[in-house]
Amino acid sequence: MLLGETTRLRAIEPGDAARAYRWVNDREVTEYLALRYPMTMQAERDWAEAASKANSYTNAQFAIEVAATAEHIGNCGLQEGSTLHRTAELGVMIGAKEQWGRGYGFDALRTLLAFGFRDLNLRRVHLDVFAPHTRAIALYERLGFEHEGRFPAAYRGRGYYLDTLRMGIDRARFDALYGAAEEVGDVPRG
Amino acid sequence: MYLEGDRVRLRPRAVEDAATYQRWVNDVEVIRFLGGAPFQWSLAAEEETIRTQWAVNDWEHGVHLAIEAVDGPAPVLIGTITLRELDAIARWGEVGILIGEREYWNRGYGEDAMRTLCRYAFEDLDLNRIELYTYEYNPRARRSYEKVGFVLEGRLRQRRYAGGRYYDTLVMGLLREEFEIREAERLALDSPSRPT
Repeated sequence: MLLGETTRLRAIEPGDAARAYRWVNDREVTEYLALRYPMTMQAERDWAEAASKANSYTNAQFAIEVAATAEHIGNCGLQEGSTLHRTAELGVMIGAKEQWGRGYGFDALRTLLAFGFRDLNLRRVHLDVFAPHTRAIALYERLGFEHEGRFPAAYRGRGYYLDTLRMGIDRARFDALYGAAEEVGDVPRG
Repeated sequence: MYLEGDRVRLRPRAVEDAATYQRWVNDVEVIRFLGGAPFQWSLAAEEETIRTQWAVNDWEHGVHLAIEAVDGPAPVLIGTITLRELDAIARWGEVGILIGEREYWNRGYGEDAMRTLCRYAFEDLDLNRIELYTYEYNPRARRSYEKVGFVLEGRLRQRRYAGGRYYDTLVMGLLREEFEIREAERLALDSPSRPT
């Protein structure tokens, strides 16, 4: 597992489908996510089956657990990884809404970014977020993401059209904010 | 066929091993010694790998074995060892080993497993050479390989990336004649009838 301070990232299992079904069909959870249709159980099973095998440079998905209780509260991942350009897109959902506001998203995404920069050797990570999703934007800003662009009325929301914001963070900024990585193993000197 | 060492035996892998392999491969420190990035593997993915990529042991697919410690009351699954890339003309193969159970580190189990696999490769498969890749941040592994007889042949500079920076990959090799001499010496030393 990839260990944060209050959360940890594990592989998604096919058995996670039922929990994900509840989350993606919860209006409150999906209001500012790119999920606009009622999702069938079959669709969620297919998603979990595929996500359970998403462990590559181009698509690495993780379940987020609260470290103290092992409760599965959401999912995150790096997708659209480009081997040539060394970039990836970050995606995240905290589906267990009773756990919102406790810093778990920050902890999990810091772990995910460290994985992207220090294990996958990415140059930069970007994401798209809807403009009214102010809590998510504040989280991304706190993590070190910077605003890089706005796409007006790009996406249909609930009764109106949403602006999409592009945010990104590069390796140098991540290192400046979070410090250098620890040495691996035991390298002989001299 | 199981391959018998002094304290370990090497057996075919089985789908029942999946949860144990999953625990090892998802351990960030273990995966750094093995090579590769700490992607997290689901049980479903691990089972599929066992059923597909490791289902057949032969020259074409390689030999994929589980390492069991057999010096306790019951066999304990402690690691895996693989011989692959078998070259029929030049008679060589590449070996990779993992001791996933941390409490079995630094106790000679890996060395015994490696020696057992090398003996099989030379005696049964008629190889002339075995090679392996290891990393500069793992001197413990390098010493273990040297005890079996492997010698450092090359340093592939900054070929490995782990934990935020580049590291050198080390290439080690073992020739059949070297192994046979070393084994004869080792067995002579171990023999209780050795003249004093």
